[in-house]
Amino acid sequence: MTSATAKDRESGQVSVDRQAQEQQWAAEARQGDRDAFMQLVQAYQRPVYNLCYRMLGDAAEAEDAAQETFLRAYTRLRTYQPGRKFSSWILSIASHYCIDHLRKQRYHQVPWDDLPPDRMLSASDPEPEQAALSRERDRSVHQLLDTLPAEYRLAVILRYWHNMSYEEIAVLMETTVSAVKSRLFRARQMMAKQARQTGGADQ
Amino acid sequence: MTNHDLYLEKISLWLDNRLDAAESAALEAHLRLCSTCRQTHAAMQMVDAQLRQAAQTVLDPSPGFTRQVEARLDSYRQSHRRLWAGMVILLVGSLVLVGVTVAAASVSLLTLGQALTDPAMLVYGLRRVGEFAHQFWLVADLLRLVVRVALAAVQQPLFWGMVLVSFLLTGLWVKILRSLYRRTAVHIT
Ligand SMILES: [Zn+2]
Repeated sequence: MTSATAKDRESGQVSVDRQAQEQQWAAEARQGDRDAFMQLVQAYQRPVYNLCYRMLGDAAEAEDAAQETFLRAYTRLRTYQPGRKFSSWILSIASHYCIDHLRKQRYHQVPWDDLPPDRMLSASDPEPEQAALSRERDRSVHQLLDTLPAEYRLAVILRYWHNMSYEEIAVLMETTVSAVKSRLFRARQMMAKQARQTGGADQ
Repeated sequence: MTNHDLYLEKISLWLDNRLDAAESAALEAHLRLCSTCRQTHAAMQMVDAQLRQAAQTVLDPSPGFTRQVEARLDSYRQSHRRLWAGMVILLVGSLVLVGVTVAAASVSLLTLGQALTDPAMLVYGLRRVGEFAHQFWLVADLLRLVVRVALAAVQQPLFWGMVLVSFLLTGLWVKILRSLYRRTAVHIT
């Protein structure tokens, strides 16, 4: 068996330049510089929005959650430790917000909405029918994610969409590497079960 | 944890490229023998492929996103400023309230003091204290004294003015605090 799963996707490696830049923005924002903070919003709106969208499964809710994330970040800039990756700090705020949000609405679940077609950016397939296909695939993935408890879902999203290592996930979720290991395993087990139940017909 | 569970967890680690060569070999050997694990392996691999595929799709927030964040920051700052303004008003108001109370109280005490320094009153009081050991109705008398002082205060228009002002100011503070709370709670929760 060959490992077709090697992680050589372009990792989210931030270049040294960019890291220096974000540190400077964060320092200026802490001094009360609004423009510097808006630069950070500009730079991180996409990862934050995507995390919220995959966690909540609803475009409007994700947008609200992402905005709330930045507002919280702004009011808590004092707690940001310089030197820490800004991306992992802001994503951890977003994660906490989404998990709280999911807990609050656990009893009236909303179905995953369809992806807004005009807002989809797919690197690989710009053709319309290809886009429709990828939308269909996305829906079945959301159905899989939907079977998971919030913490498991978060681990899966950080692993696949944000390309994080076990160690990075553990730091962000404030837990141990072995807990991450077991969360990803349980999540995969649950999703595999769900995929078999729905028959794997959506291949 | 059964033997199978152990291998199933290894499948998850294998998908994340976290097994060394020896562990991979052991897993492969088990999969060759065990059809249950093989099935789960296939299902997990399928899910993994599906997730990788889906993770290629990156969404953009709506075009007005940063502007909306800015608007929310503005309204947060405004309510923050309003909170501070409210605090200052509250502080000044409380000081005024305390001032009015102290003034009213000192005027009342002044008239009470005059009553107490009245020789007739003083004699009356001293005589009562002297009778303490023999008179059990001292308590009743003391009560009568308190009532008399209260009655004297009630007759002062200043006393009523003080009560009225206290009521009005308290009502005002409650109102200010409530509206401030409502405005900031939206953002702070
Ligand atoms: Zn087995």
